[in-house]
Amino acid sequence: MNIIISNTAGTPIYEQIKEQIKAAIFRGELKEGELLPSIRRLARDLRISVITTMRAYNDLEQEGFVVNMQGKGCYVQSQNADLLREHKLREVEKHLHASVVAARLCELSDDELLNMLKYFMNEEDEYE
Amino acid sequence: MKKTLLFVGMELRSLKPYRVSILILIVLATGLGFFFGSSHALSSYLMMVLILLMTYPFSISEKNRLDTLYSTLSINRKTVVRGHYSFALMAEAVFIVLAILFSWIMSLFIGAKFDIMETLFSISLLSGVFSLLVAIQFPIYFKYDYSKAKILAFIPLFIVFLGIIQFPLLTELLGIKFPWTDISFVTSDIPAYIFFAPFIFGLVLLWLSCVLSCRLYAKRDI
Amino acid sequence: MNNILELNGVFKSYKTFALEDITFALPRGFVMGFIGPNGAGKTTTIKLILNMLQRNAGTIKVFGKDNIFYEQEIKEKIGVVMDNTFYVDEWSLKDIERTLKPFYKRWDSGKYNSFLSDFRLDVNKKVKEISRGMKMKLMIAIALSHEADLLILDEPTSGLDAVARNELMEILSEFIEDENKGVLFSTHVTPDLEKIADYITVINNGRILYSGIKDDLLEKYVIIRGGLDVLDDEFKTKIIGCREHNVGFDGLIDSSVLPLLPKNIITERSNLDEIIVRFNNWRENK
Repeated sequence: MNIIISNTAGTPIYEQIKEQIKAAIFRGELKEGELLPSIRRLARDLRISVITTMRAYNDLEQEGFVVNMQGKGCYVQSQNADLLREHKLREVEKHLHASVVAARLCELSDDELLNMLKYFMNEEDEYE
Repeated sequence: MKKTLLFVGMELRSLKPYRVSILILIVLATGLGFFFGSSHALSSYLMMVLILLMTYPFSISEKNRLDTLYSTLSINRKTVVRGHYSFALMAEAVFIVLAILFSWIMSLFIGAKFDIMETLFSISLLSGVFSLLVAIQFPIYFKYDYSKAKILAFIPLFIVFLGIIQFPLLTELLGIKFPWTDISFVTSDIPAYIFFAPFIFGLVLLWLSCVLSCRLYAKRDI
Repeated sequence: MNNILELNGVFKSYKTFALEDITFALPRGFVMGFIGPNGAGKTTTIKLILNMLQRNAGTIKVFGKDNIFYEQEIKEKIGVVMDNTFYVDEWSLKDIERTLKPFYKRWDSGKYNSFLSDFRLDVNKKVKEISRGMKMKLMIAIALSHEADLLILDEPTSGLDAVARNELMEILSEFIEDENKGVLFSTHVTPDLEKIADYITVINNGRILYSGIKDDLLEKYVIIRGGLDVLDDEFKTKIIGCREHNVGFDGLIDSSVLPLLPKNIITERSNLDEIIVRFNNWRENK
């Protein structure tokens, strides 16, 4: 698993870590029962604060993605297939909503927006 | 106790860069003593060198921020003070040994008279002066930085230096016949236990001075 | 909470400057950045912790113990790095080891030598012959060779180039991987700390302005920029270190009041430098 942090991105670092670990779980790169790197080791590797890393792991635990075994480390928890799908759907919704907000700001018409969406869908299909 | 000894060791090591100049000073003092052919003069010069040497640790310490080093080590302020005084005591012991040794050597080579009682009295007297000077100077160094304390602390030193160097000259000028090279006239009149009074008195002064310095250094902002 | 360092209501006054009510705590296992402009009181605070200065009031605990009463015991486990060395210039690095080793129960000569070779420091070199960056690494090597649990660094990066600063950060991240250690790092160059510090204590003019988790501090304040037309007096009072110029204004603001602000201002994530500067301007204008 790779975790790539951007110090200039608008999103806080703990958020970046959290999202990237989640993405790895969704992609199946991190499997159930797999041990995550220890908090302190990850902080050292990424050269970031220990607390930032702790916060990312705590959030992941609260959202049910990992389980923290005292003294042993953090393990990836089993993911419900419906939950995974649900999560992905929410992700799509979020981005679509952001697109609509952006489109409204520059007074893009609904048709134009839909065309744009179709264009991207075609392009993605071709790419694959 | 162990830490105090370690401290003295550290102090000796801090003098290491100056060992050549220290040696030159000692040789110079001895040479001068031989030149005058007087064991008493030799001991006086040796004592002057040692008293000069006593300011070295303070000057080195200021130059290299050693007070900061001391604050990072697992020793308290008292150890620092006691270490400095132990160093002075050690120097005094070295002085006594050297003075006796050189006086004896002198008697062998240039046929100067070697009276052990006389030599001891002379050394005891000089030890007393050494202790007195250290006892006055050290508290000043512990209270202020070296550069601030230097002038203040050098006043008593200067007076004694002047006294020792100029004394024969002065007595000659005034026409008083003081047997500078032969102090047997003093020693013959007084009981033996008085011989060591200046030395013992000096040690008491040093101890009092050490107690005072501990208080002063404990309050010092480094 | 297991604090490796704790200051409570510490006062120290001089003729022209005073530290007032210095209170902060560093939990074991973390790095605290101690930041503020030059002359804010960082070195004075550190000297108080090391019992180099006499405090007028308050308590200082290191490893949960009074720093004066347990001075000897505590110092066995503290490593100190300052902006300049405090060893005899003429000493070689070998002399330093010989001198310091007997003072520490946990001194590890093997470690000292391996750090020196890692840092490319020649044991036969004298202190006066090595560069500033090397001196900093020498102090680090000494601190780590006696297995210090608490590292206290006072402006260790001043006058160092980017490469040496980066190396220091690398050493510290490795050091803090052990959850029993702690680091107090004072500096006025904040980008170094921006990444690895867990806690931040901001000091200005002898007073603590903030002490807490770094991420919280950076989230608490945001940078705002906007046009002069929206800047009324009431708004101005909320801005910390507001700078007005011909074509607008900028400043720092508590993020909790953001929703109340006009829509047409720009907000940006804050950083430690910005926080120090704005708070300093704000205090000076008061």
